Amino acid sequence: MRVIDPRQRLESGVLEMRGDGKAGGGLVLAFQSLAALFAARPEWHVQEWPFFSSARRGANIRSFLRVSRRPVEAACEVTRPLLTLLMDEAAARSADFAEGVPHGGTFVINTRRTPEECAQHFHLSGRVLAVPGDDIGTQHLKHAIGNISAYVALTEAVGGLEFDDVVETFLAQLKKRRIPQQLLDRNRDALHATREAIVEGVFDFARPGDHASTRFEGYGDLPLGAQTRLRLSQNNKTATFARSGFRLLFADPLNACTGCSHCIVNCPEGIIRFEPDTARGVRVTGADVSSFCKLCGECIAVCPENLFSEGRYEEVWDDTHAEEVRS
Amino acid sequence: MSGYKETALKESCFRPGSTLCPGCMESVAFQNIGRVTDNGIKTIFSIGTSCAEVSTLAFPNVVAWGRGDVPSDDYGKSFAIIHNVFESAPTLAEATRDVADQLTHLGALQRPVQIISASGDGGAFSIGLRTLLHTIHRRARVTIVVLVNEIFANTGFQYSPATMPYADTSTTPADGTPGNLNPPLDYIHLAMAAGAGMVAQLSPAHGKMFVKAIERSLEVEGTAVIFVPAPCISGWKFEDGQTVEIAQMGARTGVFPAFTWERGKGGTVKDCPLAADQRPSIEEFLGSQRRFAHLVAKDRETGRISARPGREEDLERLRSWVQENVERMYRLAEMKQ
Repeated sequence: MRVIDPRQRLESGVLEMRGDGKAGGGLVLAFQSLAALFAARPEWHVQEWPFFSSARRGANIRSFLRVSRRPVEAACEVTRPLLTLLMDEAAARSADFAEGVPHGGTFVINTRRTPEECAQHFHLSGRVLAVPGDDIGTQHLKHAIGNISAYVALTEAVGGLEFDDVVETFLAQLKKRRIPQQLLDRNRDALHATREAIVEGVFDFARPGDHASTRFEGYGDLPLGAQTRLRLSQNNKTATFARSGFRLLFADPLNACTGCSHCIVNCPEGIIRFEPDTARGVRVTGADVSSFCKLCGECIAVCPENLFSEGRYEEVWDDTHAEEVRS
Repeated sequence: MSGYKETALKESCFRPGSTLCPGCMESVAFQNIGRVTDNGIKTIFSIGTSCAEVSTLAFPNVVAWGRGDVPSDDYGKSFAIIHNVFESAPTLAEATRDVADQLTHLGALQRPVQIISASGDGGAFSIGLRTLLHTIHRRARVTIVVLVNEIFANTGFQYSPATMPYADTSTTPADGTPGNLNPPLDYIHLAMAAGAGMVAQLSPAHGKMFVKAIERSLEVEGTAVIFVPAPCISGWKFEDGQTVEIAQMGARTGVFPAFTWERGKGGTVKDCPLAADQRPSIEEFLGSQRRFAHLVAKDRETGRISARPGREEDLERLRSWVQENVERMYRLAEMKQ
């Protein structure tokens, strides 16, 4: 396997990038900043656009970016990117972020894990950059948001860009969004902190047929009513909207449920499980978190006995589930 | 009339699988409307385009609606949804009622139906004010539910005629300016004046009252209009798990008091005293929402929420608007006709 240098591709043709993340995670900002970074120089032609469905917070979204010395003529989504970003590990549950990436491509992942773990888990062949973006976000912005780190890691992956330009372009994008100065300074710290935190390596774990891009054979092949399979998964399992790495827990060891029904009435998804009870009228026995719980926290807030809580749970690293996603 | 717990045990026709934001009040409202309408009568919903429509009726996976695995000829459990454009939900409901009445008259429809129209506040008060008022004016026997999230959430959080004063929206940005300066439309009075048989302003945070109001709205003569204040987690910008709390706080502070009114009987304002000093201060309502971050700030040490320097006058103006709002509600409650 030979690693394909994105910089070389940039000089000779069109460098295509794609990012997978969840709505509300800052993926669009990261890609817009990257586009602005290239667009500031007259020699580059840039095409950037995000793709999302009617779903808002927590749903899978995708961003695309093309950079070239010649005018970009393609006007379709990027299906064979050389450089791909996984901004939110949980986004990999619904979409294959490495789909269509050639052997020797570059993968940027926002994760706490090492590049090797990621390459092994997602079956990647090529250069893998891992950056603990959520931790950097938590440390500097008190908010587990990985777009700053993902953006810096992308610029590192492309290479040959002035770091000062990288920082200032991002901050200019934030300014456009009316972010207060105090927050801009903290963003600056986070941008600088990322640079040291990036870990990378070259690995070859892809098996034949992994991440094969699907052939486009006309619009007849697309699922009914969907522009791409990204629009929604076929089963609308909205549990993927939940904050990454957490899930709802229910524990009632002392049988404390008073049967007040507040959780049942106020659950937006109607997934609270209960059974009839002679004394209390109803007894809550848990919640069906497997498919539809978006972890909005209403039940946690309304329960007078505090029976609901949220706990860490990294489903994306559960191998049995990963197989299911890849197939 | 069944109680709160009994309603909780009923089977809602609104299922999990909608793509609404986590903690959206609209889905809580739909859950409960779905439970109340599980009363053995076929329900016909007419839904105008809004968040509630695009996020629940995404073709081809309309998994957000359904009522168990009942056969399609189970009349009591069955329901229908007709979707039309933004402003047309009330008129479409009225037309459906007319058709149902005609079919009953001809003997083709043996059992009654209940008809509920649902639209957002943008659809109902901007483009759809005309159709909303006409449907009420013609005394159509339908229930009109307006989900008032004070914002055009579906299209990118623009100002709507129900937006609170000083709120930051994408078309009234609080960027050197104080945010939205238009006082909101007095939609409750409008609905009453147009001839509604019943008007209510209740969010599912007042669970028992909400459920009762929906039940009553299905029985009442004439048009029943229920305005559901729906805190929008993405537009009002608050933290996860605060939806119910903010809806309650908004009602208690007098921003959208819990209000029910029936023609001929008069109305009541619940959970919101007339005297300002008996209500929680509005800072508590404003402080948790980032759409008011330009107006109030929380002191890190004491946790007290107060006006930002230079914004004291704006806050006082907002406070007097809230007081006027509550006083108006009490005046409306006294009206019989």
